[in-house]
Amino acid sequence: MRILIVEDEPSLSHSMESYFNKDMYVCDTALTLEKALDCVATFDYDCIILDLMLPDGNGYNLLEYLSKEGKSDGVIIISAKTEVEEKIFSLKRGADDYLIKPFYLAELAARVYSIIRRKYFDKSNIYTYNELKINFLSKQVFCKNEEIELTRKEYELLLYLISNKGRLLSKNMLAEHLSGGLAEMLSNHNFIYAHIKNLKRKLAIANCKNYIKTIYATGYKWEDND
Amino acid sequence: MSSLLRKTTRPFFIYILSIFLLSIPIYYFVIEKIWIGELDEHNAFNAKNALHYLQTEYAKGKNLDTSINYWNNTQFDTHLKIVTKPIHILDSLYTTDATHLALGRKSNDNFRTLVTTLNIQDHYFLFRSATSFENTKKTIVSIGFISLFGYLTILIGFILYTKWLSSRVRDPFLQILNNLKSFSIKNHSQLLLPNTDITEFDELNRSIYILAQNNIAIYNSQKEFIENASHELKTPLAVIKNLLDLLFQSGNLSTAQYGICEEINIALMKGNKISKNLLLLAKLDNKQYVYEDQLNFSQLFNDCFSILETINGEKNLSFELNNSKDVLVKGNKILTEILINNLLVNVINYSNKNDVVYIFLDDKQFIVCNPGTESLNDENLFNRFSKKINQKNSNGLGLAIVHEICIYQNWKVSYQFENSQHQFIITF
Repeated sequence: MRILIVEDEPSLSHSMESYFNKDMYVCDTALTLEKALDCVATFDYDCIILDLMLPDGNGYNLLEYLSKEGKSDGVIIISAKTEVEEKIFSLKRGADDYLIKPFYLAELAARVYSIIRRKYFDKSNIYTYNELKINFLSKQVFCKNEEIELTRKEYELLLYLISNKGRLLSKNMLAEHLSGGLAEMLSNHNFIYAHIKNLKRKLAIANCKNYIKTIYATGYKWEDND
Repeated sequence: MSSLLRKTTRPFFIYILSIFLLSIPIYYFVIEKIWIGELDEHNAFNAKNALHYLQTEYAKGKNLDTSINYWNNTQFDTHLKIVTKPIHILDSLYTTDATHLALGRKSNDNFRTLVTTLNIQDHYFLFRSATSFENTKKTIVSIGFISLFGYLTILIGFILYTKWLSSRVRDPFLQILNNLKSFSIKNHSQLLLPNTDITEFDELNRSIYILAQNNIAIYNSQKEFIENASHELKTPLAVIKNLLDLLFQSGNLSTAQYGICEEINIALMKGNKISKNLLLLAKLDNKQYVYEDQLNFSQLFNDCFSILETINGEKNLSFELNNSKDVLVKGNKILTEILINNLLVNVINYSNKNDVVYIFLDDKQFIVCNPGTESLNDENLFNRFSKKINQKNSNGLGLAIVHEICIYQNWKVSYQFENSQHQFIITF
């Protein structure tokens, strides 16, 4: 899987590159629009992470180029702009997703995974992880062909964990993912425990292996120890 | 308040009407005076004629009785009579039922009468000349009607002309007004001003245009500043957050070090929230949000409330809702959502386990109540950065944001502590 990171702040660019390298993505980085245009002209990317405010132009110019060339690279806009109008405008211009800075890298990873999944699993919409089967279209989860009844938030939590499998996810990361902008206003994020507990219980009832590991005083990790 | 047209034409109409009403009696009396003068002249002329006739007859040596009879039989409007001595009588106007020889019947007419004495040598004669006033009266009335008709024609003509002139002058002004109403800095609409050949309106156009351009420039400059400030504030926060993420994922940290990372993340989250709130307040000051006339508050509340399920968690709060459906208000969707979320999260943060929260909504008010033990200090409750001592996780801006949003949307927010309930009341 090949990813292009278009971000003019070197530190941010490097952080994202390090994070995705660990997931075995091939990462290209571009600090300017010009470099980004060169990259997309040369390669087809599974996902482009695109900052809007670039020193030599606007990120929308890249979107225009992709549209003009008929390229189907997935694009996630990363921006400090919080206005809903900006988000709508970006999505109308061809972006697939819009993430507001600052964000957890795990959140970005989940969004990238979602885009790549849409690209590659569009035909069948089914994702298999050992005994688990996830139908992204109908949002159903099966364990050994038996459906597991999950709430919407439990389903979102499951996808988030799987998208970041092998990574340590803190309580705050999970809280932000599930509650969006409200997480910043809450005095604590202990509500996560209830959701994790319920998800683990339902997976156990369905005879699914326990992939959700609790790391004491730190967070959770989705991993298959076998 | 009355319209420009009415305000400018009404005094003039009142003036014209006053002049017209005043002129009627003046006109009548003046005409009458002139006619009476003419009649008096006519009567005096008759008197001179009679005197001349008598002098001629006397000079011819004719019998004056015979001459007088002849005169009286031929001069119908006059009468001569021999008197023994002079009589002093003033002119008078009276109604008489004298037989009108031409009509062959009696008629009640007004006559302008001259009664005087004529004398020749030592002979005295009483002369009376009576001229009918009715004919002149009819003439006066006719002239009066014609004048009235003339006046009305002038008045109506003037009214129509004034209306036409006013609308010609008023139209460019109304066009400018309509264009100003539809102009919006935020929507980047063009301020179109109509061409006009009236000097004052042309000057008005130019002044308005310059004023609008200045305001657009100020607005854009402040907007750009806010956007740049947002970007500049968020970039270092994003850098720290991402580096922490990498540290977190490195796998080489002790439990205590993980704890430190998490605390740094929490502080970052707060810093981010503060910068978001401050930027929101700046945008409110710059009036960058537009209203919708028919915002469905009920639906917006339901969307926000559905997320509460997610964060209710271990506090296990229960909610009693008494909400009307489809409450429509005038406001901005994003700001209203922020307001609702702030109030709901506030309730979650400051409620205890298993508390019951009451929420009420109708077309006049939105009320959120949660149990409490003592009243909050309402003096500073909605001030920025004001918080209670034990509110360590609060950044002190939540209720200030609610307050500012209410001011912006012409709503009112108030707090009261009643029946051991903290009540936050939004009045639309």
